[in-house]
Amino acid sequence: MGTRLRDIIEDIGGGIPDGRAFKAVQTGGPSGGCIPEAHLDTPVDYDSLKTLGTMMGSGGMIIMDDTSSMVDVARYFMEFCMTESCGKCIPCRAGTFQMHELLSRIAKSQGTRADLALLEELCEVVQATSLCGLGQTAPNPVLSTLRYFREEYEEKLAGG
Amino acid sequence: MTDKITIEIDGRTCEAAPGEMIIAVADREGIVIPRFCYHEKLSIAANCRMCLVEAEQGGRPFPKPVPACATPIAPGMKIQTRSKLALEAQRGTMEFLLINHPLDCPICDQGGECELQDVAMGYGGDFSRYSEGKRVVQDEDLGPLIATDMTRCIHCTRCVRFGAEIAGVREMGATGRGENMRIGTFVAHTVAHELAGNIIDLCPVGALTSKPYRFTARAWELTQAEGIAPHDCLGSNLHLHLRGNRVMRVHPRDNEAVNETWISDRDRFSYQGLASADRLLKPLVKRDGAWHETSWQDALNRAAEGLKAAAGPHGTGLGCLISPSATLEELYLAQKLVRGLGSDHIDHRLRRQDDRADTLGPTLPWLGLPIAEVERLAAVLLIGCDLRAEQPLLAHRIRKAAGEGAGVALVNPIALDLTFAATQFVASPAGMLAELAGIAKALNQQGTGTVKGLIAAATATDAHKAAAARLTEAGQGAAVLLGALAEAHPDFGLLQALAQVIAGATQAKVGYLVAGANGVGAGLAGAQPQSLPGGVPVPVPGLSAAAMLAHPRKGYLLWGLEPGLDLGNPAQAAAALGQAESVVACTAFRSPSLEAVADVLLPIAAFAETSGTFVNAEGAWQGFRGVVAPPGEARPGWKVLRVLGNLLGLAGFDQDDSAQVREELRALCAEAKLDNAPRGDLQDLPLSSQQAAKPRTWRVGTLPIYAVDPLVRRAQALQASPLALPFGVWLSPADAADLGLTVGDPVEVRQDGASAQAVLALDPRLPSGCVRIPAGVVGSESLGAQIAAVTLSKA
Repeated sequence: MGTRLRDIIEDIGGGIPDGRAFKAVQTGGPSGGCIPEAHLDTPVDYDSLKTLGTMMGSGGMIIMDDTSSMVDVARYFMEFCMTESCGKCIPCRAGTFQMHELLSRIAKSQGTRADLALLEELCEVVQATSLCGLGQTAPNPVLSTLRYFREEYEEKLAGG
Repeated sequence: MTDKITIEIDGRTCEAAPGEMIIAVADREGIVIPRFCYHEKLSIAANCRMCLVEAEQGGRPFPKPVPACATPIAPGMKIQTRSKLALEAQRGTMEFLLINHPLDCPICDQGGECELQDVAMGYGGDFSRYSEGKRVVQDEDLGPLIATDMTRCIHCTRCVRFGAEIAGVREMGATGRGENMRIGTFVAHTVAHELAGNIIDLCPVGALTSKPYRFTARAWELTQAEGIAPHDCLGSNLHLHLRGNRVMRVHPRDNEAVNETWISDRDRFSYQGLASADRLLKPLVKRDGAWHETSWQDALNRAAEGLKAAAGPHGTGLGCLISPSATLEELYLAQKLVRGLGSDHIDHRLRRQDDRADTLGPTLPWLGLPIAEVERLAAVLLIGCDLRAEQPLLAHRIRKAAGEGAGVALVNPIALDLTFAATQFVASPAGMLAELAGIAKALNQQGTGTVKGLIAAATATDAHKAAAARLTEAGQGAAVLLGALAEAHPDFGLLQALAQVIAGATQAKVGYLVAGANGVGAGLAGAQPQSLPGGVPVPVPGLSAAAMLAHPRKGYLLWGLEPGLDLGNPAQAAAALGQAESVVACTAFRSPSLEAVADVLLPIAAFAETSGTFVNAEGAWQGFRGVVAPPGEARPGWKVLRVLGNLLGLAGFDQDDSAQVREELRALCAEAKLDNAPRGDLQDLPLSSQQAAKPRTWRVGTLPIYAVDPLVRRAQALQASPLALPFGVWLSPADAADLGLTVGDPVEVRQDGASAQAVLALDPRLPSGCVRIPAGVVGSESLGAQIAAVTLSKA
C-alpha cells in the first residue's frame, strides 16, 4: 500500500520483457480500469486508483506492452462480464451483451462513429441502472480505456 | 398505519407507513411509475429496472436512480418519477427490454393489453439502435391451458415467483445465465397446478397466454362484465370478457375478502362449457321412448301436469333434487313450487348419504368465519376434505396460514399432495372416526353415546396429542372444517359430532366447506327438507336427497344436474328415477344419464346467462347479471319456475325480475343466522350400517377437480388437463398385491349389486383397505355411493 505503480512494475516485476515499451496497467480485476504511462508514479491506494478511474478490486494487476490493443482489452473484459452476468436484471443482461457486440465490431474495424457514441451511452446507462455491482462496474474497462486511449478506438473506426 | 411519515413524490406530499416501498405509495396516490416485475402479491425482485426514480433524502440526492419497488421510504424523502435522471433511466431500461423482444405485436395475443406495449408507448423509442440478431427461445408445451412464446419473455420472473410463493409448486424457473437465461419448466412438463392459469394474467407480455382463448379475439373487441364464479363455495369475483353474445374468456376481479387477485383454473376456463355441443337448445319431451322437440308451451304444460300428478293430493309423491350451484332465486322458487304442491321433499345436498343428522346438525351451516380470516388461523383441522380439488383458493389461504406457522392437520381417506407442511391422518372411512376420536382423547374428552365408545376405543398417539395441542394453543384462532368427503361419508353425523367435541374442548370454530357455489344460499332459500326459507324449521321434515332416492317417489323435478354424475349414489338414483312416472328436468345440457330417466327436458340458462345471486361460504350475498343471452330457446331458470308456478295455479309466482325474487327471500332471511351449532345431540347417532358391516374394502370416491358440475365437465381444455382424473381403480401397492392384482389389470368393481369395470393403477397415498374410484366422471355412473363398501375382482 502506497508503493508507486512504477516500482511494482519495474522493480518488483522486473519491467517489460523483450525490450518492449510499457503501455498500460490494468488493476482490480475485470471491472477495474487501465492506467497509462503518465500516471505510473501514482501510489497504490484506494483513493488514488479511484481517481484514475479504476479500483483496488481484487488487488491483481495486468501489465501490457505496446503490442496490446486497448479495444481488444476492453472487449476481453466485457466478454468476461457478459459471461458472468446472471441475467436477473435487464441492463446487465442485455447491456453487457450489446457492449460486447459493439466492442467486437470496433475491434474488427467495422464500427462507426455512431457505434462508439452508443457504446459510451450504454456504459452510463448500465452503470446507473444495473441491480448489482457486476453490472454497475462492467463498463469500467471501456470507460477507462476510452479515457486514456481514445485514439485507439478512433483509429479503429471504419473509414478512419 | 399509526406512525405515518411524510414524503414527497413529484412535488406532492404523501403520507405513508414506515417500510412501505416508494411504488406502493405512488400507486395509492395515483402517480404512475412504470413497472414489469413488481406485483403487490409477489415478493420484490427489482430485476426489470423499469421503476427507477430519482430520490433524495435530507437534501442529499441518491447517487444513482433507485428502484421504486425496492426502496423503502424514509422521512423527508423526495422522489422524482419524471425528472431527467428518472426518465433517462426508464428510457434506457425500456430500450434494453426491446432489444431482444420480437416486437411481433400484430401476431401476439397480448397485443392491445400488453404492459410492455403500453410502457413502450410512453418510454420507448420508435426505432432500434441495435442491429444484432435477436435472441430466440424455444417454446415449451405447458399443457392445454397455457400457451407459450418464450421469445417474448422479458424475464420479470412474476411466473417464477407465483409458483414459489402462491402456488407452492415451483413449476417455472430460470435456467442459464446472462443473455442465455431463460424461463421454463427446468424439465419439460405440463404445468398442472390448479391455480396455474394466474400466470397468464401475471405475464406482462405475450410470453404466457391463454391457450383456449388465444387468437379468438382482440382485447379491444371485448366488453367487460362482472360475474361470480359458479364452482365452489368461495364465489370468486370475475370479469367476463364478452364479444357479441359470447363469453370469450374469464379473468379475476380483485376482491381482497374473497379471491384476492386470483382465480382457480376451474373458474377461469369453465366458460368453455357454455359453447358445448351438448347445450339443450329447445324443450324436449319424450314420447314412446324417443325425444321430440316441442314448444315451451307444450313442454311446460306437460311438466306441470307431470309434477302435479306426481305430487298427488298430499304432495308426498314429488321429490326435487336441485344443484347446490343453482342461483339463490332458482333455489327459492323451486322450493316454493315444490312446497306449493304440498311436498317438503327438496334437497340440494346431492352427495350426502348420512341424512340421519339433518335435524340434529346445523340448519344453516357455513364456513364459520370470514374467508379472509382463514389465513390468520393458527391451527386448522380439516376433516374429509380433498382441499386443493374442492376449494383451490381456500387452500391458498390455508397455505398462507401454514406459512405463518399455523398447525394444519387433515383427517382423510387418502393422503393429499399439499403445498404446505401439515400433519395428515390418513385412514379408511372407518378409521377416520378413530383418528378424530384419538384427537378428542388427547384433549381429555369422553363424549357420550356412540362417540363415547369411539373415544374409549381410540388411542391418543403422539401425533394426535400434537394436533390437539396446536388446536388448544391456537385458542380462538383455531378452526375445525368439514369438507365434501366428510359430507359424502356414511357417518357424516358422527364426524360432525367428533368435530364438535374437539371444537368444544378447544376454542376452535367449526366450519363447513359446503358443496357447490351456493350451498349456503340453498340453505337460506329453504331448498332442503328440514327448513323453510330463512332457516325456519319444518315441523315434519321432508325427505333428503338420499332418502327420496332410497324411497322412490312418483315423480321428480331435477334441476341443473346429471343423475349419473352429480348424485351421491348414481345406481340408486337411476333405479328410483327410472321407475318414476314423471321426471321433469331443467338443464342447460343434454346428458345421457338425464335423458335415460327424464320425460321432459326444459332448457335453462347456465353461468353468465342468467341473473341471480350466490351466497358464499362466509355468507356474502353476491349478485350477478345475465351478461349473454342463453342459446336457442333456453331461458333463465327463475323465469321457467315462475311460469311453472303460474301454470300450477300456485300463489306467489308473480315476480317481474330476479331482483324481486331475491328481495322476497331477503325479507324472509331477515332473522336468519348462519350457525354451525348442532341443534340436537349428534353423539348418540349409531354407527351407520355401512360401518357396522366392517367392509373389507372401502370405496373412496373422490370427486376430481374438473368433475364437480355439468359446466366444468364440458370445458374441453380443463378436461385435457392432467388434473382431470379419468375413471379408474387405484389401490395401494400392498393392497393390490394382497388381491393378486397388478397394474393394468382390468378390475371388476361391485357395489350394491351395481358393477363397473376399470383398469387398475397404483396409488401409494391410499390407506390399507381402500380403493380410489372417482365419482363424477364417465364410467362411474353405474356405481353406488362415493364412500361405501365395494368388492374387487379380476375381470
